[in-house]
Amino acid sequence: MGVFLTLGTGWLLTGPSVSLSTLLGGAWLMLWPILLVVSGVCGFISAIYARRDEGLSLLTERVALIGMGGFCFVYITALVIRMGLGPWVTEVLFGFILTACIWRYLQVRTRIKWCKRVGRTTAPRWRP
Amino acid sequence: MDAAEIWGSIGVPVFTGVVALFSGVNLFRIRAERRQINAGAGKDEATSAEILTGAALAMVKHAEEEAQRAKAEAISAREDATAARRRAENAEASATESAKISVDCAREVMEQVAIRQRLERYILDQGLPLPIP
Repeated sequence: MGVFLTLGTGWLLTGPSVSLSTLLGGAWLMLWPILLVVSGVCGFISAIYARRDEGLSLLTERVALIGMGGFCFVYITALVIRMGLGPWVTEVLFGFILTACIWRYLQVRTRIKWCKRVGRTTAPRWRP
Repeated sequence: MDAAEIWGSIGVPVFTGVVALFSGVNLFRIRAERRQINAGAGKDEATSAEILTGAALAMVKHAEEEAQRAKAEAISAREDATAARRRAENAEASATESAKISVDCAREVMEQVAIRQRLERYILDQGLPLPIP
């Protein structure tokens, strides 16, 4: 979460990478850093409320996973279009992150459905 | 225009728009869905209590059946004991009657023996021969 938040913030401050600038243009170029910042903030909220409010944690984590997974896909696409399949280390790295995001998104979606069916309380489930 | 350019010029903006839309929708649905999740709080505890109540009722029903079965067995045992006591009383009465008859028989035998001895003594006193060798 922190990495993507930093990435989005840095993009907003200093501009995107060359590959993304080549692929994206105009308004799309400014939409992704906003999505990354929102995803990173949601990820932080999700981590903070993981033990206090499971519903809020899962719902914010879902937003974070959508943004991060979408960005990974777009970034992989940008790298492949600009440089082909030659230097594949970065593509594989972001591919792993994309796979993890999809996997976790499915888990979160299942858990949210379960929470809606069973109901969760916001009372702390642990005592320090 | 190759596939990569088509994807870069059309696919990526569409994908970006879809992701942004999906993300925004999910972001604005957080409050409603959170309320929906929290509204059901305690439902699992209620379900557990319902299951426990059902189990307790089943246990009570089972205990009631066991008690009725034990009661039936107790009634049967009491009837058996009553019959046995009646048989014992009958046997006791029969034994008493038998003893009484035995005593009467013995008394009769003793009386007959006494009569015989008296007759023998009379016969011997009179100097008569005994009819019995």
